[in-house]
Amino acid sequence: MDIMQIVAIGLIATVLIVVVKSQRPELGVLLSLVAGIIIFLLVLGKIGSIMDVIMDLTARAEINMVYLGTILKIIGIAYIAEFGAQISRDAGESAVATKIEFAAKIMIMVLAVPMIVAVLQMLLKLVP
Amino acid sequence: MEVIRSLIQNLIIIVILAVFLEMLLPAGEMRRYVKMVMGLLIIVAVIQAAGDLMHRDYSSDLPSLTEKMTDERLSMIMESGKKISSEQEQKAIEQYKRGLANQVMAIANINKELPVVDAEVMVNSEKEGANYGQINRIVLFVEKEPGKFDKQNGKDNASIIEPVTVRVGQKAEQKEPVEAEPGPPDEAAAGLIKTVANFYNLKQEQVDCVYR
Repeated sequence: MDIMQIVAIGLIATVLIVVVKSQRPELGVLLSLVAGIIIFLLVLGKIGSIMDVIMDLTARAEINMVYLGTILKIIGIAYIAEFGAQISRDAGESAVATKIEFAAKIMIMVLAVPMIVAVLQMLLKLVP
Repeated sequence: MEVIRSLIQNLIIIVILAVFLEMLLPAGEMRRYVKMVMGLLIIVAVIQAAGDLMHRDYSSDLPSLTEKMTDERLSMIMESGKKISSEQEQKAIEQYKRGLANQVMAIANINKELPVVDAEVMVNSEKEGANYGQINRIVLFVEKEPGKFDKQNGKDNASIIEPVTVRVGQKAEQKEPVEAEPGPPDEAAAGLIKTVANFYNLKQEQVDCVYR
């Protein structure tokens, strides 16, 4: 069972971080980073099947694939930013975490702007 | 009835897609932002589905950022197209030069006085200029010793090389410097050059006749 492996990796990483943190706090951050990457790599292969389902649903709903691509990019940005921000917070650098989140918000907005314009145009077309 | 059925089917799929995508959303601060964009996607999908019911096209133009991405792809395609086109033009020029050289050979071989073995044609390859493809220069290569290789019969009449003797201890004989090879006979070459130059409407200075 993959989930057992993932939980085991998570727990081992947590115990190690707790033990190491008192002596070498900088190693704790690195361990947390490594654990996060390993868990991500373990679930990476399974993301493909989810993508297939989402793409199938999008094609059936006759939604432009460009919109789905934008949404997936935004979700990716959000996850990566959350990951980075959490690690920064764990290391006690809340200011850096806030800046990472700020950058992610800006990037999400940049990606969302074309979609907002598209919705606006559609709504204006609806008005007789 | 069929249209309504299709609309309801589309809406069901859109709702399922929305739920599925919402499960993917990250927790925390970012969730609100992603949810807003996802809401826009749902609005677009629902309006498009409703538009299909009324036989109206509500699909708007592609978003500007996406257009930019398309532009990049387009420019890449255009660049590769230009590259292929220039390669093709280069090949066409080469083929044109070969064709002209063959034609020049055929014309030159009318003249029986000088055995022309090859011809090189230089053409204007500047695309922008009005004289693109015009002949700049023609070089005719004449066989120095016509009897050496009998083309007509395909026989190789190469002379037999004398055996070389190496003598040790003796001073090497100093050979006199070899004089420069004279060009083809003037009258014959002039006649050939005139024929070729007249045929292509060139100046006689543009046609050269050299020994191979």
